[in-house]
Amino acid sequence: MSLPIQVLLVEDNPGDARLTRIALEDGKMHINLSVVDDGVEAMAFLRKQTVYASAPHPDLILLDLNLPRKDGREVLAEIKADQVLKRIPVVILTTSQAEEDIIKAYNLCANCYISKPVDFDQFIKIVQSIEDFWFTIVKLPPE
Amino acid sequence: MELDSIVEQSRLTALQQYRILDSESERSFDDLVQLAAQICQAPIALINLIADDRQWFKAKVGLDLAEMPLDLGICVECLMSRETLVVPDTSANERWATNPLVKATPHVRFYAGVPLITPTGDAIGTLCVADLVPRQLTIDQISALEGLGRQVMTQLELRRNLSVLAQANIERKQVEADLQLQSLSHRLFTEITLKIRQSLQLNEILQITVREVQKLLSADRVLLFELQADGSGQVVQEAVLQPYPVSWGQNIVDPCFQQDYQEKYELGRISSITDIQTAPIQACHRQFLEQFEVKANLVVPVVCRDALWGLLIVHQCSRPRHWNNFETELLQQLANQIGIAITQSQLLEQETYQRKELIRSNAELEQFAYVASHDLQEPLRMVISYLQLLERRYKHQLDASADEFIDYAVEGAERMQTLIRDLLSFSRVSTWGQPFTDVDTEKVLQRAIANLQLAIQENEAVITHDPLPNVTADATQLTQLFQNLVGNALKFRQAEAPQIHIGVSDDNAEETTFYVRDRGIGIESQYHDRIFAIFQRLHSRSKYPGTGIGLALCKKIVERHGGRIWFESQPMQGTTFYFTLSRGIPI
Repeated sequence: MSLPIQVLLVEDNPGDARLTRIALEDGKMHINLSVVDDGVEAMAFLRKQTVYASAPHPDLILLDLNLPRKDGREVLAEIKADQVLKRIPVVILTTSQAEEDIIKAYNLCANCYISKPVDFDQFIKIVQSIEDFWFTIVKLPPE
Repeated sequence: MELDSIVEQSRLTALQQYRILDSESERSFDDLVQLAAQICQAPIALINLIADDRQWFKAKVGLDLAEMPLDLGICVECLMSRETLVVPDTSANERWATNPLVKATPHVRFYAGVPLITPTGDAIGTLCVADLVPRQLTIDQISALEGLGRQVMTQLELRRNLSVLAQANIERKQVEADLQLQSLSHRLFTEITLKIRQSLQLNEILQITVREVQKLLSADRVLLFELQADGSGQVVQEAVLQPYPVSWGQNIVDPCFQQDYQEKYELGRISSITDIQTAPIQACHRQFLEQFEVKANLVVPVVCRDALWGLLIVHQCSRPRHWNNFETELLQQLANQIGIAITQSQLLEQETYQRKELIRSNAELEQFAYVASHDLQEPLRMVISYLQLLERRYKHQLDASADEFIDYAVEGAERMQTLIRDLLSFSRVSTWGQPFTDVDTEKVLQRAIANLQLAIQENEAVITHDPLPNVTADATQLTQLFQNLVGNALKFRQAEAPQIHIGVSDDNAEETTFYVRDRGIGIESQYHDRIFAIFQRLHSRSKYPGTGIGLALCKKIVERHGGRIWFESQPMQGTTFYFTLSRGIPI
């Protein structure tokens, strides 16, 4: 049995976090989901600082844009400026459909940008598509 | 001696017209009496004009008197008879013997006179000769005297005509001067009125007014004084000659300008002072005027919307000055014009402010609608997602009521989602609009039809259209417009399959009129006014779902393009929606 796939979800809305977990649980892969609820926590997790000393190195990051303390754009910029972290694919998962947010995210080297659908079924479908695409189709870099 | 009163009246009026009584002696008349005396070989000769109270001599020889009482005189007899009168010996006739001129100095014994009769037939006096001894005149002498009498009359006529001409000349010059002044003031009027219409720049209008009035009236200072509620005021415009002190921009409190003065000015009082040193004004007011070296002033009120706005003031500083009626009237008329200009400017200011406020509050409202509907989506997504999760996982595990409750909750949440989405697109029409470009309307319609494909198939609808011209528009919004109108035509169908036609009813140089025609249920005429208002729905939700935003959105899109939207409808026959799009670049 292969090692579980590590996914970090940066999301301040526990309702959304729970929905993402439900969607991933229904999926076919064995995924270990870690959740942090702001940008500062996210960077600490990725750099294994403070309480995250033994945190796993994520294979994929699901990042919301509007976060407390340090927002998603800053987190994205820091990840992509980091020699090690920049190889981790970052999927922006947000409610914003604003064109400027989309452009800015890709300018900061986001790997893809997804608007959260309102409909539950759609949401489940999208999360499972993410899973399917990134873990069965895409070839990811070795840790 | 009784004079016929009517004849006498006419005679005196005629005499007056010659304006000769008490005039200086004149050579031409002196020559004529001289000639009369010589021809008749008489020591005394007179041109005697008979007034209502005396006999006055225009020219005389041999007599020192300037005039004589009326009742003394053979001349009056001659005048009344209107014929030549010769009295060879006055003492031989009892009528004349007792006459003081006969009885005493100069002891006249002989008299011959001819009446002076005007061209209109009035006898106004005589030409006469007298001697101190009785005698006769030859027929030639009498005839010469009569000729001389006519000469006197001719001279009188000549003199009168000259004086009429001179008077006419004076009057003409006065009229010319008046006309010139009138044309100047008319020009000033026209200029100021034009400025009022053209510029609405109040300061410019006021500036021109004071400058032109100063020039026209040759005044030393002209100013506009705006009154405040507390009785103080400010000089808002001024035209002043060197070296007199400038009052412009000063806040002025005249302790003498009391409340009752204000009230008088409000009622249209005009104050005109020829000389402030002698005018009956209070000492403090005089002192106040002296500060500005005022010697004479003319003050008219400027009234705006029935309230005293201020005063238009003209100062003469070099000398006292009497202000004539023309100047006073001119100033008052100009003050009226200024009042109109100020009123206009106040109204414009008010209107501009209100318009800006309206634009601002509209923009704010749109921004609010956008933010509100955008931020509402997030919690709504939670509600819908978890309701759906609940439905999925726990349906049939709770009782039937619980399932029903969940259904209602899901349905309500979904409706709210549609509402928010529509509201978002409504508020985005102006805030998120794209620039206008040349748009292929057929392509736009095809896209709208493609978006409605599912509904078209479900309704088995037939959609046809005319060739459609290109327009200048926001293609995304135009798509939305067609989509909403065609969507409505599909929704409000009758039992038979919908037939929808899109066409052009008018296409001219200025605008194109499109229409979307259906054979649906139609709209009752009582709803004609309400249908384009936001959130207006004419049907129950269970029968025809919708948020009531669709047509409001259509109207907003059309209006953003500078066009109009309306419809014609017959209940149970169908509806045709029309809208226009401007041909040029919309404003």
